[in-house]
Amino acid sequence: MRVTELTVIKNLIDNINKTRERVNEIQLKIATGKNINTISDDPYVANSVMNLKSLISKNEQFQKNIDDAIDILTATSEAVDNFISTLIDVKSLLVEVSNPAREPDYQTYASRLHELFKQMIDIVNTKFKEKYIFNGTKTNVKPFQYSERTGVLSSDLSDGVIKFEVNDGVYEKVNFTVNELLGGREIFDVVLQIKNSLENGIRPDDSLVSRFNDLFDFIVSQASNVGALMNRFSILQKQIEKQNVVLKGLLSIKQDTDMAQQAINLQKEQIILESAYTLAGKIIQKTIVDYLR
Amino acid sequence: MSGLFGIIESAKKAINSSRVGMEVTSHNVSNVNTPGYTRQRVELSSTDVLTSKNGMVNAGVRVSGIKQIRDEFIESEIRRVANLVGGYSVAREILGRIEALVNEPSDVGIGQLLQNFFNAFDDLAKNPEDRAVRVTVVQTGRALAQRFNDIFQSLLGMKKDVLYEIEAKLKNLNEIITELGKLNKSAINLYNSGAETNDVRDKINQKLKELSKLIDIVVSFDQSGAVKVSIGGVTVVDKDFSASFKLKFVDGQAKIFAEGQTSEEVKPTFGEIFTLQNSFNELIPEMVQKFDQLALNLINKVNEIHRIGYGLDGTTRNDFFAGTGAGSIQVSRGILENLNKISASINGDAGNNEIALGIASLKNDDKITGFYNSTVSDIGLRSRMSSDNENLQQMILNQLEAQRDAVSGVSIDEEMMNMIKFQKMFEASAKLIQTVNEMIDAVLAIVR
Repeated sequence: MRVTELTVIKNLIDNINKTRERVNEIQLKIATGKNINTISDDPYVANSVMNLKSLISKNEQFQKNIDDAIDILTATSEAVDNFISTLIDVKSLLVEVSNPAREPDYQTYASRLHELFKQMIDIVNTKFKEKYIFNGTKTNVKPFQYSERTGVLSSDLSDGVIKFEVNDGVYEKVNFTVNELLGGREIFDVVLQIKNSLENGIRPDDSLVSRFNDLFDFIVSQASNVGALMNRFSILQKQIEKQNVVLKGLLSIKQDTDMAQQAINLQKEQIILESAYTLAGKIIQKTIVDYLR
Repeated sequence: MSGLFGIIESAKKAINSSRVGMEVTSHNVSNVNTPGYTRQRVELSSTDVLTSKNGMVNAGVRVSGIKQIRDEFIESEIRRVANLVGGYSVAREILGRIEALVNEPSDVGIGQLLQNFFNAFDDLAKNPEDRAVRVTVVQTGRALAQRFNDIFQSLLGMKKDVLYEIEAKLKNLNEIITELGKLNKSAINLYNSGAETNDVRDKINQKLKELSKLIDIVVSFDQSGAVKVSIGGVTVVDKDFSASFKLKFVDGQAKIFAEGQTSEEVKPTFGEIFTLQNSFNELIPEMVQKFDQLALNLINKVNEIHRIGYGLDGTTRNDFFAGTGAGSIQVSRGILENLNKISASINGDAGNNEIALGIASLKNDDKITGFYNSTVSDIGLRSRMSSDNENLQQMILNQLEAQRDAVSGVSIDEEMMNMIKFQKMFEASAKLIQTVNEMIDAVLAIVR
């Protein structure tokens, strides 16, 4: 094949351009730290990068949701604990009152019970982040209104379930309602009746006391549900965290550039480029003209 | 005696021939860097000599022609591949611009903005009563809508740019075609006057190469070197006739018409102009349509759920998004004016979050994220394919040009050796004349 000067120079320029293109590519990868900078770098990998990114973003949202749910449940569980310890106080008060050996001062007991009753109302009206946590979906409505003056207890209760998304298409409830936990407003009515009867100097009816005891047992057994749900959320939290670690690892494998490898590649291409430059000077100089003297 | 003058005569022919040789060598060396130049060679042959025992009559050399060393097949292959390179490089450029516009994978592309938007609704589901979360919902909704608007506007702007480019390329095309007509005329004139048309052929070839980058052409030459060019069955150059091209719009489609004796539509099948035309008529409208569809899906799906729900102010049947496509999508005015109109609740309870959860669950919807991801991959794949094709064809073109150069290129080494060859020929012939001169002097000295 005849090889002319033009061919040699053209090939040289072509090859230098190609090498420079590769150097540029490597530099971009190193500068961004990413193997995939546009989709066309590798459409298939880019697609899975996009999918992984959206999975991770979803997972992070689930993580946030679970954290928030645990916050709510922690507040719920604290309130329930307080409620139960108040009920225990009520219970021991009733034991004292019902002791036939003593002639108690009913008025004092009535006012002590009244305080405990108000405490119960306060607890069930607990607000967390500006929301009434025991009132279902009517989170902006106080579940119980008690007027000390008239002695009337009114309630506006909702059984609405609030659910958070904890995984793709998996919704978990995060709230407990008065009906669910306390079996409705009966416990308040019973305590109020006992208090009223004490105020009137009458020993509370045995049926009332035994009803209170039944309700107490019911509430204590319901309270364990809160703990159970919290456990469930902790397990979910760990699962999601684990998933996230795996997904991020996968994303890194697909997307992140191997710096050491790229540094070596860059070195290699630069050596090629430099040799090409050196050679270019030599190739172009020499023709027969140099020997025609 | 007559023999001696005959020798001078034949030496004179040799001197003339070596001068022609020098001229051709000099022409070749001068054009070593001229694009499309084909090296030329002096064809020498001996004269018709009458040889007898009394000596030679009419001895010597003559120039039988100055020929080009040309390979027609490679030339036509170069034209074919240049056409492919032209088309793919424009396709790569346009798809690259669309790809840059979509800007994926990144944290500012529609993919991430969709994710942010749905996550905001998920946050709203956790705090349906909270005003601050509602602000985030509206902000992410606006960011998303604005991105759609931007992409839509940029695609329209791109369409306009493409149109300008088509017009510029057509102008270029017209210039080349006119030039070809002129070159044809001079080729015919030269041929009729009996001269060689070497350099005109080179120029025609060069113009044809430029032409085939723009548009696919069918080429045939006549014996004078004049060319006949047709595009998509329409003859645009023939002898000294050359058509001119105009862009016309038929039903919003850009069409190219050749104005010659009649006006005919030219339908190219590849090349820069074809790809530009195709981008204007099909590719960009298709992209606009896809983003319109995506925006419309988003508007419909979100509104469908949103309208069932109740805002904090107790109103219902409110739309979250307004608009009908990528260009017009925006967060509806009612919501911008009153954040409490965002529905999260299905029954009016402030703490109910089922609507917010429903909208957040659209993040897995095939018609939204699925559709978007497939659109983006499609753009990426096409962009990749056109750049791969461009690289491949460019490589083939380089190969072909190297081959053409191997046949037709000027080699300085070769020309220098030719120069020495003709120089020696000239020197020897001059020496011959000098010697014969001395011989004649000797003969004349006898007479004195």
